[in-house]
Amino acid sequence: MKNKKVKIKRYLPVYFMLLPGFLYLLVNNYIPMAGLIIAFKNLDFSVGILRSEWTGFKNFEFLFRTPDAWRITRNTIGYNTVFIIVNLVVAVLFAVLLSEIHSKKAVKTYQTIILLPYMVSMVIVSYLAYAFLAGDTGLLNGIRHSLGLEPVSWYSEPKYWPVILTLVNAWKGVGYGAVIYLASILGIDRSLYEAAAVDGIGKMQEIRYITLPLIKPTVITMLLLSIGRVFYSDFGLFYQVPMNSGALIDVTNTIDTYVYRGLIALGDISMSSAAGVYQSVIGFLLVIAANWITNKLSKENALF
Amino acid sequence: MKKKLAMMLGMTLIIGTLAGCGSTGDTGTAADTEPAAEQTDSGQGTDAGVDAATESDAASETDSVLKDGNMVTLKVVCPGGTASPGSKGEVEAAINEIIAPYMDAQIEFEFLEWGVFQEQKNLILSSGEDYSLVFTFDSSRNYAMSHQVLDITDLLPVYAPGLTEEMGTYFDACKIGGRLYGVPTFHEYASRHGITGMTSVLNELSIDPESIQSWEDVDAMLAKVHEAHPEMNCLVPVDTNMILSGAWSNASISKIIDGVGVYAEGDPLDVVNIYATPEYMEEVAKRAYDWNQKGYVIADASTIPEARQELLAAGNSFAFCGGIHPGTKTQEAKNAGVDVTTMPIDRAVLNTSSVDFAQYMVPTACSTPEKAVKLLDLMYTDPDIVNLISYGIEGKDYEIKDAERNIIGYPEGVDSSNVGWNNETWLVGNGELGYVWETDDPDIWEQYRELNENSVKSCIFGFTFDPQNVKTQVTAIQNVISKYGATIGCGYADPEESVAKFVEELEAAGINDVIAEAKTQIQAWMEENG
Amino acid sequence: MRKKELSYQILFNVVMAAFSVLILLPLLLLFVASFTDNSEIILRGYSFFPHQLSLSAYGYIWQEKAQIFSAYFITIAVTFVGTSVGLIISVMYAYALSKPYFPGKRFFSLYILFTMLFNGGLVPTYIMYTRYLHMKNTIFALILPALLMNAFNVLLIRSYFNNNVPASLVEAARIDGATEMQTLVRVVVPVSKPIIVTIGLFIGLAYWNDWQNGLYYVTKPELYSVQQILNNMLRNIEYLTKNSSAVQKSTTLAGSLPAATVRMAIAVVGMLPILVIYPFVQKYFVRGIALGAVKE
Repeated sequence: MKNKKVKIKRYLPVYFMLLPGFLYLLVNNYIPMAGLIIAFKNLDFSVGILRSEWTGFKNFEFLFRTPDAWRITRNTIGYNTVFIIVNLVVAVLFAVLLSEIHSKKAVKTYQTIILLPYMVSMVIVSYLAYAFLAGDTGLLNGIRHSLGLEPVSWYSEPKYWPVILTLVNAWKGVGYGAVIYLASILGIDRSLYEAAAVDGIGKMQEIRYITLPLIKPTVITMLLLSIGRVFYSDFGLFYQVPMNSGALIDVTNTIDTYVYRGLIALGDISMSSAAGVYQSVIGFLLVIAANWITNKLSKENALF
Repeated sequence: MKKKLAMMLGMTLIIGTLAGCGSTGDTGTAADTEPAAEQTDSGQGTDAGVDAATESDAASETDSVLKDGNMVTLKVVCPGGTASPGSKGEVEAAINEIIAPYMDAQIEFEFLEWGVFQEQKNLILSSGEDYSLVFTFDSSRNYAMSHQVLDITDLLPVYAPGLTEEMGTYFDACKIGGRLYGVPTFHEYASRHGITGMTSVLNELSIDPESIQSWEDVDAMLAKVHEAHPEMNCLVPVDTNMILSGAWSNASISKIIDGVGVYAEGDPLDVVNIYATPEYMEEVAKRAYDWNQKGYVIADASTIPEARQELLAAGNSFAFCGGIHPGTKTQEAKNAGVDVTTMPIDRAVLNTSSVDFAQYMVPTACSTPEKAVKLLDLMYTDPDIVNLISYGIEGKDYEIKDAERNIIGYPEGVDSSNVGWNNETWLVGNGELGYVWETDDPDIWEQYRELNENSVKSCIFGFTFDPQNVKTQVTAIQNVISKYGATIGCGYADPEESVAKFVEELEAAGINDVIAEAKTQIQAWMEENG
Repeated sequence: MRKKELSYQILFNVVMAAFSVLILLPLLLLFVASFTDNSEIILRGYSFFPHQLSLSAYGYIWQEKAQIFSAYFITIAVTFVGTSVGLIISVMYAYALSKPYFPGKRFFSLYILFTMLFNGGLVPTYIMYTRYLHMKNTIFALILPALLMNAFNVLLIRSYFNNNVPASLVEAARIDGATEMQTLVRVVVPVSKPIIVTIGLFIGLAYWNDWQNGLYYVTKPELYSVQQILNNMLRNIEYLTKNSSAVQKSTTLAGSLPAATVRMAIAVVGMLPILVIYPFVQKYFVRGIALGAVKE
């Protein structure tokens, strides 16, 4: 007991550093988290959330007892997997290239450009996509026309959309990842490269044997963090960018858009809350699993 | 150690947060009205009896509640063009003067901008903040079912006798399980489905709008326009991104919930899948497909992001199909900045949803529901309050142009961009009591009243469906409708094939459960309402 | 060797330039569209080479100039305070987590990770901030909810501290008798500039771009931030064009409204700050912290 006290005292400064963040998360996240019980209740505001009637898992039924359950789950996970891989590869590529380019002006220009799309809201992105894809006034069909090709009715052809959505998502998100990886590369001990230069190692080998292995921890952190969100989807990307086109629903409906479409008329807080709980729990389990694997492979990179 | 402390701290706070959610402490009144409401639920007739017996005491009793010496602020939430109109303070002061003799209260408006109104209003209703009146323009059903708003059935005759007399006939549409959770504002309730087109094109091709009386006439008109102007988009979609909008069914079918309805004048118990009816096939699927094939429909009709008034204003489009009422012409012309002509075709039918979509409700957390209801009463009966809420301050925001006919307009130097008050007459309560804006027909309100009174009343007018038992099916059905509704409604799919698939998926989504549930509820509703 | 290096530089630049052009094209379209005549967009579609230019979209936004100027003050204040405080508490939390051991480390790791996976939803959070902390229509409502600190940023900083800051450096400082705070400020932060600047940038962008806190907690125009004004504008346009039958008299948004181009102009106005601020931030994105040298 005494030993413990001494220990706590020794680590007091560490706890002190954790305190502000701890309190903030308590107020901003943990206390409201009690609201998760809404998902298991039939809300009655006249008696308050606590005294509302329990309904067990009834609010979750709509996520499973539908012919679409499989499709929306497949779409959500499928797109997220592709997004994670594509964005990772492109972002790392950008970061490596940026770190290797000597001209400061050029680097600054590229870096600004790749981060710009991150600032554009999805509503605007949906209009930009429309500018390219519109049936008779769209730019793509204009190009096809000048090449003597038949116009494509983009908003009613599901087969193109997995590619379109991946491109739009990468366009908007890659800059963000690239900046993080770039920061990580810039933090690599400079002397390693100097030593490599002395040994006469080529550029490609330098990237392969120094840069990439040394940003692996950041990559793993980013991966672990994104795995927790594979059951979520960007509503704007899947609803607004395809302009809510019915013909595309088979390839664009995700858990979030399904819930949105389904609850427009019902406006049921408990059911939307249930969807959130479902997404969180699955995400949580996946992170636990991924973290367990990371622990086995490279302990120091695990999240906990 | 720290962990335990954190958890304890967390728990106490959590319990505090949640317990406080529903009721707002010191007010007994809000809670009291509820059990009372439940008791009277059983006997319909008793309400009137009780009221009559207590009428003599009522006056003094209401006085003691309203003039209790406790000066409260009644916060009223409405949608508006701007969150702080310039004349807000003056309008509030003027209203306070009018309400002072009736009760100890002050009014405070909270205008939520149109685009964010839904979200901000829903937060207010779920948070337990002390607001007195909240406007909604979706039915009060969802709010009533989760008790976010109070049952005001018993308060109305006592604290709002004028309002009850004025609007009583339309209350029926807003009742949920025989109780009232909100009061509809007075406006044009019904509308006739038809087509609205550019006057310039009609004139050019000398088409007499009076001659367009049926959908066959419309077809012929479109053919004529298409022939004369092949480059023109004859038809553009309306709000729902459909060429033939959701209003198509109004003439014959009353919707219960998306996808399910009854024939307006048929047997109320004959509940049908709307999309499996011959009417849907003939009047929507086939017609839209035919028009699309003939090249009348604008490209990307089901996904086009531009609104109809933008498309009309750009000058390359001719018409759209949708609901039409006496005010449509002025309003569409104003929105598009071009002259349009309306050609109503179907008859007008009064459904529950025609009336119950625009209502004032009293939130559960309101600390003085009696005063809130009294304020409502004045909003429906006092012309000065109606004019203040509709038009702002006389001489500043408007001036009388024609005293005899009660016509008003902007004063010198004032226009829509700098006026200090800008409100919709249909969210005032009873706009009929106030002035008429100079751009509207002077007898616009008589026209509205006539339309409302001459509409066919649906056989289930006043029935509100409770989706509680079939929520899962309803969400699945909504998703199926998103998939097919606009595609078929714009004529992009072969009718026979696509409607069959549509109906098949609706059935897989459980539409028959909803139909069965609707039948049970309508049966019960009919027994209750004789 | 030199020649080889030059060819690499050319290759890398060509690749990045090509990608930059691809990324820039839609943005260029956005920019051009904001200066295009609205009717032209509706009739002919968007184009890189419009026939008719127009400033009416910016004219429309300019109507709100008085409010936009006061909103800039709010935005700048909120961004400044939020970013500073947020960065400080995030860095401290991350530094603590990067310690090899202290009792409860696992708890504190999970404590923050959990917030990324679970959240109570909007209604409970709203109740917390409005009913219990009374922050509705105060400037705190723009700073505190959701944005101040998030797990993602903290874990990224921690990962950087763990992997790019040599343990020997921290150990050396400890032996010199530095307190934890001194070690963090004098030793760890200076060698971690790239990540701290990056996360600071992200927090700053999140504040600058935020309209959600405004949407939920602010209904008084005096407290509107720039993005809230722009977002309200965007939503009002969407709403009024789609529901014009409901709105008859709010005529400030009548037919003459250049909706298509205003949307684009709003996006341009929203993007400007990054073009202004980013070059300053990039100063810190420099390599060359030769840790080998520091160690000795």
